[in-house]
Amino acid sequence: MKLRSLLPGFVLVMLVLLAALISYVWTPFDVETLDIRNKLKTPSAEHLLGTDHYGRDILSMLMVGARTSIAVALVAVGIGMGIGVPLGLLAAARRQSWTDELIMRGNDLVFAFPALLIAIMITAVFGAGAINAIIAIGIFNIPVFARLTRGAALSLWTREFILAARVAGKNGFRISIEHILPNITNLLIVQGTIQFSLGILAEAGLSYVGLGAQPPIPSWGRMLAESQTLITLAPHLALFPGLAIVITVLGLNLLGDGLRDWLDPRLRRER
Amino acid sequence: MVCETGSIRGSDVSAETQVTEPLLQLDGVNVQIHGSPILHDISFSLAAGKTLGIIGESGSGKSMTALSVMQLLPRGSDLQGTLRFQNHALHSLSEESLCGLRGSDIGMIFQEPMTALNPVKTIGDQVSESIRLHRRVSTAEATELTAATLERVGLPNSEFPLSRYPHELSGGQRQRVVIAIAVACKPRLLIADEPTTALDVTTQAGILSLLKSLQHDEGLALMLITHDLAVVSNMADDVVVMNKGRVVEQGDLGRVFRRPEKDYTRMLFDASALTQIATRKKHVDDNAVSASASASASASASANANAEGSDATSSLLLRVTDLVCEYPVRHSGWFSRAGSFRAVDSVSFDIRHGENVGLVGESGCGKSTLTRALLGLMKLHSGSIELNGESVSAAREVSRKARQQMQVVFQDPYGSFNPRHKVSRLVNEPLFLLDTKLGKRGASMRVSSVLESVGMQADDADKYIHEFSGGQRQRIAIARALIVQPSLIILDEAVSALDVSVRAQVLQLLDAVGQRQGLAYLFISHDLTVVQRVSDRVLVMQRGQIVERGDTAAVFSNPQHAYTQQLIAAAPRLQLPAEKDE
Amino acid sequence: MFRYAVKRLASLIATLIVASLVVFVVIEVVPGDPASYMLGMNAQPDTVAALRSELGLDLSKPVRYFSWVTGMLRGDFGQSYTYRTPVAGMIADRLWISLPLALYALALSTVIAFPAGIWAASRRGGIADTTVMGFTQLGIAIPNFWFALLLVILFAIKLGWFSAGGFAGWESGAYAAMKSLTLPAVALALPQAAILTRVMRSALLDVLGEDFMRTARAKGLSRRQALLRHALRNAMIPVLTIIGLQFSFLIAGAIIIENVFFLPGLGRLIFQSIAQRDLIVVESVVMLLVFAVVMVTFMVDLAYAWVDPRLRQRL
Repeated sequence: MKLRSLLPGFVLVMLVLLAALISYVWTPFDVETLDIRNKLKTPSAEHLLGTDHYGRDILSMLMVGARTSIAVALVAVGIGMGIGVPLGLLAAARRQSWTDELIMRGNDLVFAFPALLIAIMITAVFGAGAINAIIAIGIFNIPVFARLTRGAALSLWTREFILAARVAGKNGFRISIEHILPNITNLLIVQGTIQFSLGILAEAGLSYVGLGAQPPIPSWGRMLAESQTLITLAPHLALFPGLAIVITVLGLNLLGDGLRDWLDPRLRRER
Repeated sequence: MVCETGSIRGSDVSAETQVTEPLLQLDGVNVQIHGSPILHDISFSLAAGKTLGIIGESGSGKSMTALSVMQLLPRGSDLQGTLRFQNHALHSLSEESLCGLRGSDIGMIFQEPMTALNPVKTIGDQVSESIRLHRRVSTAEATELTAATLERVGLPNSEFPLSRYPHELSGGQRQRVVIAIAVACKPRLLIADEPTTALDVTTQAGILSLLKSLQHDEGLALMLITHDLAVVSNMADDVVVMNKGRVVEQGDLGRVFRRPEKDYTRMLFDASALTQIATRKKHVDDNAVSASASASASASASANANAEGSDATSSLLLRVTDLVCEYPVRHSGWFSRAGSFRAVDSVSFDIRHGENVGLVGESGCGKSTLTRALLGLMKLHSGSIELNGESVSAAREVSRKARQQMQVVFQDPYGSFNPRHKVSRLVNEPLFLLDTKLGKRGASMRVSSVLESVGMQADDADKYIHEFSGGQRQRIAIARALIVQPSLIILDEAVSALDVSVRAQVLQLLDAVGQRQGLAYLFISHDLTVVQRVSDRVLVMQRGQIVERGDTAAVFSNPQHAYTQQLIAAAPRLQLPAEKDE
Repeated sequence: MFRYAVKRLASLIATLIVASLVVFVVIEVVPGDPASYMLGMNAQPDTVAALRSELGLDLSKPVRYFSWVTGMLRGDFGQSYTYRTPVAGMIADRLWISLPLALYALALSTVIAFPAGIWAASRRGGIADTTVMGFTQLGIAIPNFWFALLLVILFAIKLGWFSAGGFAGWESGAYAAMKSLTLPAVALALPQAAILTRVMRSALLDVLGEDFMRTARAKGLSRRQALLRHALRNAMIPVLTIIGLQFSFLIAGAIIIENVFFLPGLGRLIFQSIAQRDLIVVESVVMLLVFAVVMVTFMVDLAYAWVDPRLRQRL
C-alpha cells in the first residue's frame, strides 16, 4: 500500500548518486575552466541548465557539487551512528545507573546547541571547510541516534525473550549484540535515511553562509549564495541548485518512508 | 425465550413462552473486512432483562459480533443482514441516530480496563460526559448523577472523588468506572466484551456480581462475551456458541451444556470441565479422597516445617529459606529518602526431584519477583536459594551449572521469542550454558530431538516463530527449556494466554514429559483450576508471603487460611443449570 | 507538580553551566589573539601586550570564565573588542529583530500545521490526506533559504509587493516593521509547518488507535467529537516535544534567513564577529541562544505536566 513511496524515492536517490559517481569520470563541461564569453546563458541545447557568471556549465557544477553534499551528509551519518548507537545500547543495558544518567545528560547538552551553532563555533575556531562541516553535523547526529537506540532498546529489555537470554547466562553486552541490535536495525535504517536528508540540508545551509566546503570545491549551497547578487539578471542561477537539493532530499525522505513501511514487521509476514 | 427459528425452548415444557418482541435481534448478519469474510450468517436474539452468553475461543468472531451491534466495526467493513434493537433497524440508521443510541440505550464495556479510560481526564469528567451527551441536565445535576452512578458501581465518593485520574485506580476499579460510563444513562442493553478476562479472580467475582445486581435492579439485558464457560454458566440464561465466525449452536444454557448437539461444543465443554475445581458435591470418590487427605493435611499444614507430606524417598532439589526481595521506592517526601517495597517477604519452601509444586497468587502478590529471584535474575535482600546444594544468589555469580539445572517457560508465547531468529537458534540458546560446547551438528541434533519430544517436527527448526500458533509456540518454549536437561522447570503462567482447548493439550504434554524425564515443576499461576489439575502440592501466596501450603487436594477441599478460602470461593465454577433446577 | 518543576529547573541550570563551560573552552582554544588581529601584523609587542591587558586578556582562564559568567548574570556581557561598546547593547538591538522574526514564524507554522494535521488525520487514507502529505513532503525537502530566494523573485521582484531585503525598523511603525519581516517569516515557517503537520497527524493517528477512543465512541460521541474532545489533548504531548525541538532549528534557520534578506539581526552579528575575531560577542550570542533553547525545553517540560496528569506524580 504505502510502498508507492519506496520506488520513486529509490529512483530519485539513485539518480543523484549516479550523477555524483559519473562526475568522477565525465561531466558535460569541465568545471574548472572559465568561459566568460558564455556567461549567464539561459538553458539551451548546449548548456542544458545554462551557465553561471563565470561561464561555467551549471549542470556539470551540480554533478560535482553532488559529491560534496553526499560525502558530507554520509560521513556525518556514519559518525552519528558509529558513536550514537553504541552509546544508546550501553545506556539501555545499564539503565537506571550512573552511566545511563551521564549519557542522557550528555544528549540533553548537545541538543541544547542547535546544529548550526555547533558548526559556527567549530568553524569560528578551526576555520571553515568541508571537514569541519562534517564534524559539526556529525556531532549533532550522535545524540539523535543515541536517544533513538536507547528508547528502542529499553522497550526491548523488558520483553520476555531477553529474560530467556539472561536465563541462558548471557550478559548485557552479548544480549545487546545478539538480540537487541538485530531488532532495532530497521529503526536505524529509517532514521539513517532521515538524518542523511537532514545532513544534505544542513550542508547546503552551511555552504550558503560560507562555512562549508570552500572554493574551488563546488557545493550547491555556495552556488545559491553566489546567485543572490545576480538574482534580477539571472534567476535560473538560483533555481537549479535549489531544485537539486529538493530532489535529493525528497528522494531520501520518500525512500525512508518507503523503507519504514516495507520493513514494518506487522506488515511483513516473511523474514 | 423465542429463538430465531421460532421454536420454543428445547426439551423442557416451560411456563414462559414469550410472544413479545425480543429486545435485540440479529438476522443473517454477514461481515467482511476489506473483502475477507469475518462473520457468516449470524442470527440470534435477546429478550429484555435476560442475559445472553456468547462463547467462543479467540478468533471466533464474538467481539466482531458485539461491534456489529454497536455499528462500530473497523474501517473497510461491509455488513449485510439486519440488526433490530427495540424498534430501530440498526443496520440502516444514520450515524447521528446511532450516536444517540450508543451510551444511552445500548452501553458497551471492553476487555482491557487499564487502557479503556482517557488518562488525561478525571473519572468524574468521563462519566458525566456520558450523561451530558444524552440528557438535558444542568452541570450541577450532571455532577450529582455522576456521583450517584459511581456510588452505584461500588466506588464510594468518599474514597473516589470525581477528581481522581484513571492512573490512580487499580484494574478492577477502572473497570467499574467503565461500567459507570456505560450505565449512567440507564440503557436497556449492556454489551460486555470479556469484561473480566484481564482481572484477578477475586476482582472478577466482584465485577460479575456488580453486573448481576445492575441487571436485577435496572432490568438490564446483558450480552456477555467470554471464553470462560464457568463464567457463562454462572451468569447467562441463554448461550450462543461461536467458532470461526459462525454460530455453531445456540439455545437455553441448560440444554446446550447438558446435551450439546455439535462436536465443537462438546469439545469446548470437555476441555473446560477437565480443569475445574473439585467441589464437595461432585463425586463420592473425591469425597473420600478429600476426607482422608484433609486429616493429614491439617496436621501438616499446621506444622511450619519445610518438608511436607510428599514423597519422602525423592531427594531435595530446591530449598528456599527466608527469601526477601525488595525494590527501592522513591518516597513522596521532599528529601527523597529511598524507601523499599518488600515484594517477597521471608518465603521458604522446598521442591523435591520429580515433584509438581503449584504456586497460586493474584497479581501483585510477588510471584513474578519470586520467579526472577529463583532464576538468578535479581539480587536477594536476604535469605538463600539452594539448587542441588549450590547457592543461587545475585545474577552475576550464578554458576552455569546451577542455571543448567533450572529452566523456565514464560507466559507470552509471542513475546518470549526473538522474532528475528529461526527456531533452531531460539531453541538452542540455553546450550550456551554448557561447559563443553556441542558442535554445529551436535547442537542441531539436540534441537531436532527435543522438538520431536514436544510433538513438533525436526524441520520446524528452520522456520521463524511467527509461522506458528500460540499453542505451538509454547511447545517450542518447552523444547527450549528441555534442551539442557534441567531438573526443574519453572512455568510462569505458561498456559494462561492459551485457548481452552490448546491449554489442555499443553498440560498433557507437560505431564508426559515430566513423567518421562523425572522433571520437577514449579507451576505458577493465578488460575486455580490449572494449578489444581497439575500440582501435587500447592503454595498460596499473598502480599509476598506464603499464607498456606499443603497437598493440593487437601488445600482445595479444605482451605484453612481466609485468603485461600476467598480465592476458592471467588473462582467461577462450571455449574450445570440442571443442578439449580432439580 | 511543584517538585517536578523544581527538578526540571535544576536540570536546566546544570545544563546551562556545562554549556557555558563548553562555549568558553571551545572559543578560548582559538589560535590567534584578538589584540594582535586588531592591531595588525606589524604592531609592536608591547602595544599588543598593553591592549591585551586593557581588554583583560592577560588574566588567567578560570578568572576570565567566572567574571564572564557573573557578568552575564548581571546583564553585563562585557565590551566588544572591536567596537568597545557594551555587548549587551549590541545584542539588544539585534534581538528586536531576531526574536519577533522567530515568533512570527512560529505563529505562522502552528496556525497552518494544526488544522492541516487534524484534517489529514480525520480523513486518513483519503484524497485530503494524500494531498496534505504530498505538500508536507515537498515542504520538508525545500531549504528555507532557497524558498526565501524564490519568494524574493516572485513577490519582491516580479510583483513588487514587498521589498527584497532590509528591515524597516521599529521606528517606522509596527506595520512597516512586520511587513519587512513577513517574507522572511514565511520562508522560515515553511519547513517547520510541514514537519509540524506530519507530527500532528501521526500523533493523532496514534491516539485514535488507543482503547479509550473506543470507549468514547461507545458513549455515543461522533467521530469528530471524539477526536476533538479526547484525542487532541493526548496528541498534544508528542506535538509539544517537537515544537520544543523545532525551536532550536528555528533559531538556526533564522540566522541563515537573515542573510538572505539583509536583516541586521543576531545572525549577522555572529558572522561579523567571527570575521573580526570579536570573541566576546561570539561567546555571548551563542550563550544567549543556548539559553533560549534550554528555556524553551524547560517550558515544554512544564507544559507536559500540565497536559498529562500522570507526570505530576512521578519524579
